[in-house]
Amino acid sequence: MEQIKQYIISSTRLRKMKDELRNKKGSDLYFKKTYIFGDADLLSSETKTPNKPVAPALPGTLTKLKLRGYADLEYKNAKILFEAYQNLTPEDASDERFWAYLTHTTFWDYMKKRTNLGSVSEEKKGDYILTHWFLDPLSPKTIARNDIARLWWSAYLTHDEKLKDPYMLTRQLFSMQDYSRTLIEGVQGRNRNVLHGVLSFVIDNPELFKQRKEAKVRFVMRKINQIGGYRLLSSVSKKEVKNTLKKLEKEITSVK
Amino acid sequence: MKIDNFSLPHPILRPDGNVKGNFSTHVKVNVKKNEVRIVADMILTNDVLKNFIEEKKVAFGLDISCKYTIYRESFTSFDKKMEILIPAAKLRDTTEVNCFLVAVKDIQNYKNEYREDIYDNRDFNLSKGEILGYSGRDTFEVPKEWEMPEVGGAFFVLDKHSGKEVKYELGSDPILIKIPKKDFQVMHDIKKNERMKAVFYTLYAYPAMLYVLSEIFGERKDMYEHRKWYKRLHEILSSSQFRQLSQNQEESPKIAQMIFQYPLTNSINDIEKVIIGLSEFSE
Repeated sequence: MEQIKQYIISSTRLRKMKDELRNKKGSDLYFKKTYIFGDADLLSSETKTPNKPVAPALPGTLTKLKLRGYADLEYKNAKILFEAYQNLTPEDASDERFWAYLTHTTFWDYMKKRTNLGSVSEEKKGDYILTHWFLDPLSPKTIARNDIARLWWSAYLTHDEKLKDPYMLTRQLFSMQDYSRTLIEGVQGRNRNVLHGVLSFVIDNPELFKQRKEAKVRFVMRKINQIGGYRLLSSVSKKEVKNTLKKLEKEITSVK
Repeated sequence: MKIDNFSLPHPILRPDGNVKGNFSTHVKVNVKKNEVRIVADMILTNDVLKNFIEEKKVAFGLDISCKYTIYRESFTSFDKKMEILIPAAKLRDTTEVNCFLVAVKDIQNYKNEYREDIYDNRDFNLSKGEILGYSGRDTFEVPKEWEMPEVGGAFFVLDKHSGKEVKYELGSDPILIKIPKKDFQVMHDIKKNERMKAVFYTLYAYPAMLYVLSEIFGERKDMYEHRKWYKRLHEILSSSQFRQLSQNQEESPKIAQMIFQYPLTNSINDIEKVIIGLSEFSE
């Protein structure tokens, strides 16, 4: 495996970048061809590196109207990124310096096209950049909002080698934005059995979720949170989570 | 993890609960570079639940959760002493441990001994995973050897800016105190002078700490809990010197002065010495 040096942004430089953006300065740099770093700004990381350069598909045909295409694209990018960084540990994947390096260098062009910063008002540009290019402060919420970290983490949390298609649950996760907000950002979704149980249940019951899927998934998540308040769902299997949801079928059917 | 009191279908054994008896857990954590070892000793005084544990229908449970690595896993055992090993790479910074008694099988017609007689003629059917006892929540730190920022361990770092006012950036780690450019050199000279150290703290560190305390005693505390400076401040406020004080916005001036060892009084003393020195010189 060819080891390519992986860099991260230094804490000092990262802090200065964020301070400027909070003070509504520096957003013009995000329209340049490259983001300029000094020699002292980048450090060699201890993280294992990918064995080939990551080349995610650029959203060439991405428009707001093509919702279905958008979902597929994110899922495909997540798969590429996860496989390229398959040796990344959760501890390293929680390092803002690493993700900020990727958003400002490797995926610079992707980020500019993906985020359409030009359409954001001048007043809000700083906050917008902080949300999409950084992880500040570190939390499941900011991970879900960073446009590169989200891809890797979504694949990491849903990938299952035991499945015929190991990314089946990943594809389902990207099919709806609500999953990010309710599962990835929530306490219950931190547990693999719960996360996989919920996603599998939706996949296994296509007729149940054919209509009003968003409302029904939100309902399922509310019930999971409620049940999780008196039942240690992290102690039961994925199958048992699905069985729990199966008992709620009638209620789910009647969700408007 | 929070137990939802309104959703509990039956009473559970807990310090303020309706089930007679006691359930407590002592948790010891040993954090090493590659692994985190958690040892929990459980004490249970409730015969009904003890019998269920012997019958292997109920178990002791530890729920470990770390939001910074989106990690959550539960471990169960029928032994009142549990030892768990978790790879350190799965955790980072603040990690939470919750201790339970949990049904590991469905249980029919469950009843216990209650403090209030309203439950006396009731029994409950339990599903696997239902919580039967809760002894509390603890947190521990899994620190990583991240690259340290410029001023190791200090609350504040100083920088200059082109504005007229002094600004405080709490979203930074350490906290950034931004001083008007024209004052920056003077501030440095004051800071370097041992006789004026208290004056420096009064002018810059004390107001900054007042602002910090007003934020962490207010509604926006959650925004800073991840910060190293927050954790250091939390440790200080948990020490014996501060634990006795009411930790709220009204007490912020007192707390801030205690943290910096009464800089206002000390700076008056320092200034007095300078004035005396100047008077003697002019004589």
